[in-house]
Amino acid sequence: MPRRSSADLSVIQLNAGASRLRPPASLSEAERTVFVDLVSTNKPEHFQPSDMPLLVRYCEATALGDLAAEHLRTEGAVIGGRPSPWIVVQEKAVRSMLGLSMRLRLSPQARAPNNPSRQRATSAYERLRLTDDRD
Amino acid sequence: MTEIDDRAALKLAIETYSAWDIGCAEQIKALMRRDGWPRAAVFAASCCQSDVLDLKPWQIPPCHILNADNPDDGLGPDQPGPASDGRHQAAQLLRRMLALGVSKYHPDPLAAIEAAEKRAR
Repeated sequence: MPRRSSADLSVIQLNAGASRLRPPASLSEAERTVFVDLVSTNKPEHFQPSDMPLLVRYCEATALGDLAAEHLRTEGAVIGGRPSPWIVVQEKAVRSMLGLSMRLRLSPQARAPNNPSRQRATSAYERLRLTDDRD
Repeated sequence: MTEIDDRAALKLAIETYSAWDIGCAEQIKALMRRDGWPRAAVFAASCCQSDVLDLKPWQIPPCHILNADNPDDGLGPDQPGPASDGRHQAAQLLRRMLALGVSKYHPDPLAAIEAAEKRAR
């Protein structure tokens, strides 16, 4: 998904429909961009006002992950013979994003169908198929 | 073989699905108003089974198999096909369920099978 320019972000959406959440003023430019991208590419009713704290944390983690990735790309993963500190930053940012994306129903698994449940390594049908193959 | 209580299973499916979150509860209520209780309950059973069996979106849950001995029955030509839509596994699971007196609409087939097998020992 390409990032939107600040000019684009300032355009008032004519087809607002159900009101979408707006980014809080506390977000940085990069975090704000993530927020608007996310909210505008999901249905208006996907995010409720009560989701705001999680959404803000997700945007912060995403922006931080992007920043870490940029540093790693330009400076390399090893600096002066030692691992770049941005590696840990990126790992933590991605870990946050993974947990928050499930709770915000942003990941494919969480989207269908309002699925709150745990994930298994193989489905019941795959296990049955494996059992059949061995017989 | 004990009589299979499909209605109780469907009621449980609605309760289970409604408990996922408030959106699901509202959705089921809307479906009941629009399509009636039986269709809404079968929808709930289908979603619960797909979730608990960890099925892919195109795979068929046991409650949608019309004939446990011939899973092709009633499936339209738009189905992906037996190689990927899990119809044989669904039918296999359904045969086990029915043999143990578990309703095809039970929202958690594996747990119900396990409980029935324990009772049978």
